Amino acid sequence: MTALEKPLSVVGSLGVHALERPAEAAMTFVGYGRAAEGTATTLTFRELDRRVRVLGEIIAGRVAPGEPVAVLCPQGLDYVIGFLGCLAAGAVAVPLYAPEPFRSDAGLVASLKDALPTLVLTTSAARAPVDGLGAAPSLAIDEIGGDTAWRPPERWDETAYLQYTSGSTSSPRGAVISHANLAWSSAQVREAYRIDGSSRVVSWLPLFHDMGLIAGLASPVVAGAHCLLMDPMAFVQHPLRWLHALSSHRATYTAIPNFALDMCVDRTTITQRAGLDLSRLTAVTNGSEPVRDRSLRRFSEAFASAGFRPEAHAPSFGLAEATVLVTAKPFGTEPAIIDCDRAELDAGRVRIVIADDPTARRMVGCGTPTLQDVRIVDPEALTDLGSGRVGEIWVRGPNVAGGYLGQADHPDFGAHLDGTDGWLRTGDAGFLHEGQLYIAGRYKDLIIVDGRNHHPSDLEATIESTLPGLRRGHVIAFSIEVEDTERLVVVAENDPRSQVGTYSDPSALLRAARRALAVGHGIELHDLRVITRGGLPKTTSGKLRRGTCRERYLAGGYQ
Amino acid sequence: MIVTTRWLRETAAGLLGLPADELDPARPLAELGFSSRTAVVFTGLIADRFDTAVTPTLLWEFPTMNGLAAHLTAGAPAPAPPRAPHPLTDLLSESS
Repeated sequence: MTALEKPLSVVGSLGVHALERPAEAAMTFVGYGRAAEGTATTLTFRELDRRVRVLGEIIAGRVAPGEPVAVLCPQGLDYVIGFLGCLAAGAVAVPLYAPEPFRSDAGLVASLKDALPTLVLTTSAARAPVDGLGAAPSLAIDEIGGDTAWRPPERWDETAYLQYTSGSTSSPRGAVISHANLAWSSAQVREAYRIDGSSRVVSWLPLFHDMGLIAGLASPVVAGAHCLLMDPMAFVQHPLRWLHALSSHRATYTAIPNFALDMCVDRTTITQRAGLDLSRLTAVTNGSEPVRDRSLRRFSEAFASAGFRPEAHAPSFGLAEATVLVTAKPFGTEPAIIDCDRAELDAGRVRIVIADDPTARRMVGCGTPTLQDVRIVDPEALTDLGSGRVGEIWVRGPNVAGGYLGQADHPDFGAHLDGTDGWLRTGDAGFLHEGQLYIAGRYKDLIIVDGRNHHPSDLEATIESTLPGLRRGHVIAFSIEVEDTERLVVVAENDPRSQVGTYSDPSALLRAARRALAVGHGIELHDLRVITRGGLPKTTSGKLRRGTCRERYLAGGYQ
Repeated sequence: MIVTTRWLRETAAGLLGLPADELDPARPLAELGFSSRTAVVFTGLIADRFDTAVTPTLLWEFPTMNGLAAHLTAGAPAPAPPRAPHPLTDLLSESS
């Protein structure tokens, strides 16, 4: 399984680079205000190491080892210093974000209440809104200067950080990631995408996100690669900024969720593309939402003139509970694309058909396991299904988290299979075909839109508390695919006893629902159906059956 | 300004996947179902269309399409944003 030697920790690796190549650039952040071209700030390995050690010593003097310290910084170099400073100090980092416009604080507050940090790291610019959260005393990283001879010890088994998997308000889940998990995951990413000291990395992924943290911070620091960071919103506002950064930074590696590919094609002109050089890119990790063949092809075609090579597309599968990466496309190959019979797939079997078969569902291979074990397991019988059958994806490796904070007996962790234990149940459905993993769907009730995870119960609670006249506990949220994109649908029961009664103005209801979901969760509502009492499917014990509701909706049952 | 409003409505409709006539330009965008990401995408499209630098907080300063159209047509500098740390939430409580 693991062919690599035991890797050095992330902080330990930084110390080595600071000694061996002190004056080389380690991290650059490009900020965009009203200036179109952006402003770059760079830290060398020596400077980054010094600032991490200075902060680490301060943190170690203020909190006991193993105490949680939240990182509530805007995207930038201070975020990197803050996260690594916690690791150096032996504190448990809680990488989250500073409150920001157009984003509800509910998920942030829920994660903070779960993690209970005793210290908060932020920046002087973000300090006022961060202190407004009242989580813990704060420290502004950019106000700390000086030097120290203090060096952190090498850490391995202790907890390094808590990775919150979604902004769930009802049940926040902080995956407990050890220094060993982080070091192994970084090693897996480096191995899969051949990242070394000569690599050049660009990332706009948020650093509080598992993929952003490993691809844009841990892996480049461990490898000693120069990484250029930018703010996610800078990309979303003008995708050309990221493309320019890839071009001018001569990037070899980057990572994105699938939607970013389409944004780049839709938001750039032929002239703009011709001015770019993407020929050095060897891997673009595509993860955190389903990988679409159409998006890959559109991007390849649009950016062929910029020298982009299709084999740089790197579909992957990963999850925060496995630190991040689980499978990766074999390096340097074009992504594997197959067409499966849809009905057979729904029945759990893989039958390859020709591309223009009307029953075909096109699937993109997410690659092979990255120095860990992956099995497809019958979720009821708990037996290994081998190749060619759809089942739950199980993962075991040195990158798998210890569990969720405060949920010692969570059934997703430590599962048994064929006499072995320590398996992580991912809740995702998939199959193996010619050695590659394909994602078929999801057993867990998770809604993933724009690369962000949402628990249906959170969205349901928001709808229930916002819209009067709905029957309590009778709202179901689920997602459907519309034109290859996951979209949110809500079906709710009307409460006939409510004073509001039947809605006279359905468009007002829809507006209110859209607003509540956009503001509270940053998610757009595709469709809302209000049905009469008793219309939602339930189990005999009265639990809502989201899957059945979704099937009925797709069959046109709630017209 | 009529042309600008029409462009804003059609662009917003395209982003939200809704018919343009369902989007009332006098209502706050958040009420029409804009998420933070779509709002920022919208500011990028506005910057491209009107060839002007736009910060992601433009929609907080001008929460309706009518307001945006007036601002873009006049070419006047944006007023200073309010000091509140959670602008969208504030904007919504003001509008409801």
